[in-house]
Amino acid sequence: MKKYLLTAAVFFAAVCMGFSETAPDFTEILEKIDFQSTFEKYDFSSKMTMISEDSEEGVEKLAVYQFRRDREDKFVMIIEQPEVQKGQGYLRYEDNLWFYDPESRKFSHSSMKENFSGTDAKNSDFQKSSLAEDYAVETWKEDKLGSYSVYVLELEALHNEVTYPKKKIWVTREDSLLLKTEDYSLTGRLMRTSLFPKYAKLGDSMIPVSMIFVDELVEGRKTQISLKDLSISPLADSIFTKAYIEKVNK
Amino acid sequence: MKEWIKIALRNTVRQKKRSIMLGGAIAFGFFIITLLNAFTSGLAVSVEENFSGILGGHIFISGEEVSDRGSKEFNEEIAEIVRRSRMSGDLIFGPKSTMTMISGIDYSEETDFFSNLEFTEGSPIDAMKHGSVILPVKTAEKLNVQIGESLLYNTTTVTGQKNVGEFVLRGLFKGQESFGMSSGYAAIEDVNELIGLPKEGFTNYNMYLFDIELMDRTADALYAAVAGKAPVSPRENEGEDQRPGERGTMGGMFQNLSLPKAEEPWEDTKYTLVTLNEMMSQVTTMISTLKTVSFSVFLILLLIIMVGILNTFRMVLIERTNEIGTMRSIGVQKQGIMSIFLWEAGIIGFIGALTGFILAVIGILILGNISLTGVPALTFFLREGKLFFSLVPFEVIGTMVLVAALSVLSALLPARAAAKLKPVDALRAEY
Repeated sequence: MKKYLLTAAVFFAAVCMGFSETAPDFTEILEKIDFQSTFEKYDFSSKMTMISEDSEEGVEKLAVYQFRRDREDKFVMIIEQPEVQKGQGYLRYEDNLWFYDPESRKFSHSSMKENFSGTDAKNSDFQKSSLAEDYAVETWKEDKLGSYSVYVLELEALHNEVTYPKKKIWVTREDSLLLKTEDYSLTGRLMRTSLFPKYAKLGDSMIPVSMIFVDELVEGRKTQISLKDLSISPLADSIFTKAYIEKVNK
Repeated sequence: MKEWIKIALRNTVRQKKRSIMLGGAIAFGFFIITLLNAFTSGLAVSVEENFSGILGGHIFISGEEVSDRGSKEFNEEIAEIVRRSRMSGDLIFGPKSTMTMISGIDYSEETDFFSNLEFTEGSPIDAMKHGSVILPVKTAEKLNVQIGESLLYNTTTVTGQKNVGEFVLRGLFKGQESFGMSSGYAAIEDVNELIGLPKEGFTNYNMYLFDIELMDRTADALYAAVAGKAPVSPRENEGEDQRPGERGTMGGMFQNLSLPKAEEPWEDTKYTLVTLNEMMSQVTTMISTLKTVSFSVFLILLLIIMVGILNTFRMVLIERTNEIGTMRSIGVQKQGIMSIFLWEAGIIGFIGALTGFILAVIGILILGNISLTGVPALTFFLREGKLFFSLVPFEVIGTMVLVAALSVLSALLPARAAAKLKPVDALRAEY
């Protein structure tokens, strides 16, 4: 009888110990991810090189200038290369995303949920992150991603404004850096994998300077993005206007 | 009068060769115009039937959650109501993908849906199975996919979230890519599941009318009724702003069926109302251009024929000068001479037109029985795989009257000249 009681006590203690390992504050982690990838105090600009690979269409290279003013939810992206797309631009302000076509000299509405200029990156990938607002953590586990100790969090959308209803993210335990995400459809099918292998620190923020987006639906399609000429110097207000995008093309 | 007609008939028969040549020219002109008119009218009917069959109605109301409201007041005009769900996205097969629209069909409601499609592979029975999709041949070729293989469909729900579904290709049909109508079809339940609508939901509320002529009038009334109860896009959408997802994705006539264009912010579901006439505007413009061209050709032909009649009757006048002199001498009045000439021209014109009509009917019977199912580009212009000709009685009678009248008009000058001849001079004349 004593033996049974002892076994039960050990089992109970083990279970209690398991529960006593407190789960991390995931809201805090998501908020930290958002905070680190956002430039609330500064403007941000960079030059991006996007290389898209497609087994059918080959390799395409885009050079894009990026200007962000996260505190006002604004950004401007202007394509410099290839020549055929030169001057095409995106402007986000007041919940609108405008696309400018220099051929027709017209602006048309676009969506943050659309892919950026035929690449595997979404327009929303270039705005400030809002994981804490958009998603709730459903499950979590600790794991290793390469040499990094990470939390693997499964997220579920809190509303239907987001592009992907489900996400899985790999975030470093030490400094809450997002290393990898998997985006899932409503039916739970993996649609896209994003990798963020390299970060740069600018002010209080950490910005991924290398990003890889892999289309998991179309075989052999992926986009690699690298950032250079990073700056947090103040940008002129006039940059975040339609007139600027038009002027750049003249 | 009877006498003049008798003499005119005798004269027509007397100079058989000339009458046949003249009548033959008129018959040829009439044959061409009748055939072309019947072809263009038939074309309009075939295209209209094919369009309404494929699109499922004459008037289309689209939105995400259309209810029955707005239709109840129009029971007299509406013959049938069809509910469909439509989604746009990328069909993916291995490394290949293509932008395609898929329409969800309620096969139990649209029992004759497949009669509008020309299957090249697969069968309607398989196509109705859960998780099946049927595609235009060209789309399948682009993806290099075969019957029985699985495809992915990357789309967005009605609220804008990404979703992916899997379909098995169960049928291929000849599509209408030339009109931007490369839509695939699947069961409405499967489409609703992917776009996040309830099983019994639909995005398009299409109506077949008893009388297609009432389409625009009924559409106007419906538009007013729906507008009174819910936000509706303006009928004419102009302007530079476009709805996300529309830009450069859905060309052709399906563009009118896509989501409403954003020109001002709105809450909840916004509806669009489009009629078959609006959707077919490209085709109707093409048909009316064809009609105008054929009528212009006919007018040129008619002008040539009129000059021919004029010259012929001038010759007749010279040949019959002595005869006219004799007739005038025995008491025939000027009016009588003129009537004989005019009746002769009228008879030739009428018989020529009648012959042309008979030839056109024979031509229609022959051409209308040639199967053109092997020509995919013509699919939309055919009825049961053949060209359809529609003879409009009003048009035929009108053209016949026009030809006869112009023939008479052409003979008017020589007839007047014949009537003016003095009997003495006419008897004395030597040619």
